[in-house]
Amino acid sequence: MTRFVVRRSLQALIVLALVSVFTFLIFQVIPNGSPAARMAGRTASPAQIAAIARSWGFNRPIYIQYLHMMDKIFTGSVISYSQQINVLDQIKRGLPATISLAAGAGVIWLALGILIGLLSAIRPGRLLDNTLGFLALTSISAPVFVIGAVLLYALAYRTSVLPSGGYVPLTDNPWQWFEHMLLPWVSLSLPFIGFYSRVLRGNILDAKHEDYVRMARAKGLSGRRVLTRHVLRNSLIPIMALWGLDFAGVVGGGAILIESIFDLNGVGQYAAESIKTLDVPPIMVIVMYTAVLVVVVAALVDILYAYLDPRISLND
Amino acid sequence: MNAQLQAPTEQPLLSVEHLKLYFPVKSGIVVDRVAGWVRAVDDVSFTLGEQETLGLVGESGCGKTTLARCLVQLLSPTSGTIRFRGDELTSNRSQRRLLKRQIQMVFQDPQASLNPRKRVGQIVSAGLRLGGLKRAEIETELRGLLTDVGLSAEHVQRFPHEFSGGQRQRVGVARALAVRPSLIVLDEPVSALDVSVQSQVINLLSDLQDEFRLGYIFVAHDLAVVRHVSDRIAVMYLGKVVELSAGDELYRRPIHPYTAALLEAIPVPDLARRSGRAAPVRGEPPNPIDPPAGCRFHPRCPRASDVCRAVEPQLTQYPSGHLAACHHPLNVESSDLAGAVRSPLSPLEAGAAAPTLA
Amino acid sequence: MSGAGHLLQVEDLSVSFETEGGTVHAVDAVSFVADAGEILCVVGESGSGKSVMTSSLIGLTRAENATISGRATFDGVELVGAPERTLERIRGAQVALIPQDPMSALDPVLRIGHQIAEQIRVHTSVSRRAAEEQAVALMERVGIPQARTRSRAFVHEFSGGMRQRIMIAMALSCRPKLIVADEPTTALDVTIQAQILHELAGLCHETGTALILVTHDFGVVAELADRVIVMYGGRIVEQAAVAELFDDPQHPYTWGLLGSVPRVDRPRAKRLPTISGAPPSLIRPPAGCHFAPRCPHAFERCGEVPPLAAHSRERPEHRDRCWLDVAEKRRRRVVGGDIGLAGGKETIVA
Repeated sequence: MTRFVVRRSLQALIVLALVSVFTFLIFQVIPNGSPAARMAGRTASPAQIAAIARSWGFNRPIYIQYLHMMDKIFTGSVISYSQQINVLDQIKRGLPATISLAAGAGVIWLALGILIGLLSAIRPGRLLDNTLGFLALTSISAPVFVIGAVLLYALAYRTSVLPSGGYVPLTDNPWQWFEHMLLPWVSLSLPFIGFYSRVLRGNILDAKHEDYVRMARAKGLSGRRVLTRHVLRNSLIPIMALWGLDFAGVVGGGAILIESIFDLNGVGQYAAESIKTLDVPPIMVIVMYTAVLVVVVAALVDILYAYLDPRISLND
Repeated sequence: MNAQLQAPTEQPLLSVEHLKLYFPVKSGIVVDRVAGWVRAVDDVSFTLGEQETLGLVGESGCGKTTLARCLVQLLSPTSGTIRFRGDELTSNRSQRRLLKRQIQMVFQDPQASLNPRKRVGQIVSAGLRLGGLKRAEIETELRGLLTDVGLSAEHVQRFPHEFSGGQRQRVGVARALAVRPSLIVLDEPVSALDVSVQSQVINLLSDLQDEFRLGYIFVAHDLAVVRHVSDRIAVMYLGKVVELSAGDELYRRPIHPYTAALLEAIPVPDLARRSGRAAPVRGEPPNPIDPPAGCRFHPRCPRASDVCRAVEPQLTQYPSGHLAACHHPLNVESSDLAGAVRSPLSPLEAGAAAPTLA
Repeated sequence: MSGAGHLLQVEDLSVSFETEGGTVHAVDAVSFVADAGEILCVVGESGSGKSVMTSSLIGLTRAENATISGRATFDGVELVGAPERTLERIRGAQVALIPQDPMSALDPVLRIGHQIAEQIRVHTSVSRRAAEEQAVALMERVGIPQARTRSRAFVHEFSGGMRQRIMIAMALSCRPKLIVADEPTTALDVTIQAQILHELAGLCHETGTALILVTHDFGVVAELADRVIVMYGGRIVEQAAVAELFDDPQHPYTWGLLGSVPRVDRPRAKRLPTISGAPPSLIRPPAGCHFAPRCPHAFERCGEVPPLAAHSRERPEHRDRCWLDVAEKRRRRVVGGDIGLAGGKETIVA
């Protein structure tokens, strides 16, 4: 276990370093990336731009700028270029929305994905399975912003059943929080439900043919018991691993489109806006935050996997 | 065929000298360190004459498959030498490539060893195409090979799954023969086949050996099968050769208790042998990472004594030419002991204690 | 054959299933009986139908769309066509299965003790703890050292021989009347094989459990069997008490099998006798006797299916499917001083 933790921590550090350097460099080479010009505005004179550049340190060598930024990030004082606010504060403000989105959607897509996968696998090839399969395929292929836009249109604009966007913190008003999160949850979950149900269905069908399933029946277990005690257990293990990583992705701000459509002002939306304005500091921070999150969650998933499947050992 | 057990006056086809193959067991926190070794093959020596068959027998974990793979250069030995007609196998690359043609392999599982996406013709002629032959020549060769192994020329276009197990194994043999090797290593070639098909394939291998002047190393776990093809037989246990003798001699007069146990364990289709035989040997083969001290068989051996627990027995050569590594050999008389010497094939680390009666 | 008191009575059992290539007639009108406490060996090679037949008895054929017809009465209960609930009650409790490959027959993510206890809890109403205690006791009984600790282990932590002992423990757990063992030692080393067979037979004798042992190895048959059934191409071609089978085998296929076994107890043969050709296709089996295409003794009558019949009135239990008369058989079956099948040249395998 020690070996595992040490290795993964080293891995996290390496990933962090690489990701931050890479992101930083990208923004150095993008055209129109000069932050000084953007800060100065349209009608600025070259002298004004140069002055801003000097005060912000944009004229220093790249590696100095990088180290400078890393220093500001780790001391919590990094300021965004476009809005002159502290990036870390901004992220903290966006976290509740993002976490609400991830948590709710995560629970929904896991539960429904498993349920639908199970239903499909019980009688494969029949009407229910084919129908669910078709729906799954549709939900996976339809772009998430289309789903979101359609739902918004149908349930918010046309009929005002649900609010059309924005986020209300749970602590302020639980019911409104729920109302505001419902459509984002559904939109985000749909593709995952489709995907997970197909994966689980595949795992179950494979497991059904395994010798140990046949043996379980030979012991006298009923079909249902065989399903729950042997087939499901073995089939769900990979699903848990998938879920962990997908969940981490959403928490890391990966649900950019959903957050933007529903105007949740979470981390993802913040990232989207920063990219539009080529605002490097928030992007750097979010990217690094996501990287760490994914490494940590991947490690946790591996630990979970090793716990659930005794054939897997943590030491490779 | 009168096989010699000492290095023959003519050059042996294959000579294996003190071969070791250890697999590292890694552990460590940041960097992998080697924590121990799996001693899969632990100082094995033998020779094989031209057109001779050596049977290599043992149960799982004895190292025979690892040894076989080493001979065809699928694995690299940790130490020791393999010589093919005098040339060391471990030398430079171009020589290795030449030698690879000379030593071919037939695998155990006829289903797994043939690419299911390729036609039989492609599989068998793969080696031929590398040899730079022209298309027409390859065609003729191919047809000849298929007929030689008991298939027909029309099988060229078929896929492996269209054949039975025995036929697939014939394809495997044809593939090995294609490059005209001098030595074929057969790794349990009939274990996966039905009994009646086994005998077909064994007869085929015999015929081919005469026709193509082949040497065979026949790896098997089944002493009964190996008997019919082998001139000499080596019995392995946990990485070591425990007995080596001319074919029939092994069955009539096994010297090592493990060989005797193996022979006893084989179920014989004869009712007279039936009543209440106790299981010949108890326990299971131990862990090759941590083999027992002294004689590796001692924990399971009914004849084990203190010297067996402490000293690794040397590979003793008895006057008949029969080799065995045991401190208390079976089926030997005092006259045999008197003429017994330590064989040059003995592991280097074996003790110097001479075998004694009972 | 009288119907009184047989533990298992199988009559005209046929199993077929559909594949892309056509209907596979895996088992063709098989009839036999098994009595309490005896060891019955079913011998055959691949494609003989032996595994399909035994697994169809408890409704566990591997093919999902198998059609089973005929009758198989176990302890008074009709198995063919029985509702699933009935079969579930019988499986594991009255009829236990020991499969060929213990590695894949055990759930890789559950502990061994749990899996043994699971079977006990399906059929009896003991508590979880009691069942696990019984599991440990069973493991001890089959010779697994440190049973208590090992019951918490997983299948991949055991060696092949130990895994098969676990399967034996499971099979015995509910004191079944019949154990069906499908080539239980094929995957094991020969010294372990000997141990396991010896122990299994011993346990069966001790508990009075009947054993149907499927094997391809005549040596195993000689060691353990009370009675033997030889199958070929989905049919029974010979059945007899074991002594009868070895002394006076009546069917050419049996001669061929006996002859082609490489022996350690006899002088070395120059060339191994074989059975030329390959087993028949079960989709389009030959008309008449399935073995005729490979049989050097085939004649015109073999185009008609030979009935499974006793060849002598003194031995009504020894039956075979061959048209040759007894005297002919006894003459022809000796090849080079031993029982075997006279060879033709090995024909090219079709």
